Amino acid sequence: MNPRAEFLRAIVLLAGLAAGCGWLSSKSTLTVHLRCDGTISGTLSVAALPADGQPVDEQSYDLGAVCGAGELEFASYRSEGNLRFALARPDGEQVTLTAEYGRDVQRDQDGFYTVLRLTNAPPFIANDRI
Amino acid sequence: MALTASIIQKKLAAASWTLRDNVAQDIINGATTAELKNLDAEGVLRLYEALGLSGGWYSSRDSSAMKRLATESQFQPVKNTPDFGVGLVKRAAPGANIQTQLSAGLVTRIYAAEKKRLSVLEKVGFDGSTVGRGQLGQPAYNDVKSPRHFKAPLEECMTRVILAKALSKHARPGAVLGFDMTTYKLRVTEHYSNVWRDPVLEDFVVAAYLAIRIRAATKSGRSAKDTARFAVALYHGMRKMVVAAQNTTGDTVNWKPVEAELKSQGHTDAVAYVNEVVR
Repeated sequence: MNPRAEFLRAIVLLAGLAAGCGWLSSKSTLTVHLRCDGTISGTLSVAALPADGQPVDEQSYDLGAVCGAGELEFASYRSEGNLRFALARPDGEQVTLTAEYGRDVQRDQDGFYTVLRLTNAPPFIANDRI
Repeated sequence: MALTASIIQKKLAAASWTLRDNVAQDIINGATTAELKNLDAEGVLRLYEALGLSGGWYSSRDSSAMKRLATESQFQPVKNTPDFGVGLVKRAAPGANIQTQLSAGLVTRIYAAEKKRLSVLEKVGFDGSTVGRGQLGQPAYNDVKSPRHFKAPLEECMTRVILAKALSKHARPGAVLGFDMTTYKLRVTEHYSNVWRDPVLEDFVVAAYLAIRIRAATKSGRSAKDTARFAVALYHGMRKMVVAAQNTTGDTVNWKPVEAELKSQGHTDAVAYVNEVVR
């Protein structure tokens, strides 16, 4: 077999493997822009929220780190879907928040994004807008 | 009894395939002006199809009936664009900021500002991910055609544009691109590449996307004019620089501090874009 045919075969094989492993799934990366009011501690979890209401693909972030960066990237976002945020504070308080696509979650040419405001006073976490 | 798509369907179905154009002629010639004006897309399409696709040939009587259908149906060519698209969007989006800030002028100023900033390649037709006078791409169109945003008015706009084009030819018609001729319903195209070359459709999509951006920029304490400025900035792809400027200034409501920060960071053309569009 000539090298060109072998190369094409490898491409086809890789595409098949990628599809089989779900690499070509509909997941997208979503940017969460964070507005942290002062020093915020705790853990922020982000999960995709399918129509059945059960959060999936949850990822957790240390707030000290992500507040410093001003944003985090959630790689398991389902296109045009909703999100559930869960904030675990050092004092044991747990707060959850839903972000709805089209209202809180938006899309532009650079991808999907949402804005969160985090504070040390209730409600501790809220959807915000640019 | 008023002329409806259902009546037309029954009358056409009762005739043999070869005589359906004659039946369509009779329906059109026997209808009042008001009946033709009130006929919906399905009714018009059934008559259009019967005149052109049944019978042995497209006769002068078929052509004459087609002319009357074209002249008197509600699906007339849109001449007042972008006002037509802006009107459809505003009718579907009652928010105060959309009502006061969205206008035909805003749409045409977007075109002017984008035109000034086209790259050399874009000027000669080599488009990137964004296309047309409004320089929008597939993601923006996906939002516009979504049921949560402007699906219904987009369908209304497309129906008007596509049917007006089909009827205006008067020549023997074929299948109407964009319609399912088995159900006589519009099939909204998935791809913006099939949309943006029509000026009326592009005007609608640009107006609708501006409305989405205005809605997303609306927040407590922000003036209507500043809402339009943030909306236009994000339309222009300035999200990351605007967020960075807001973080630096600590002001997440007003445009002026953001504008000053953007200028200090050297984003003078981006600021100029916003000021050219929002007046």
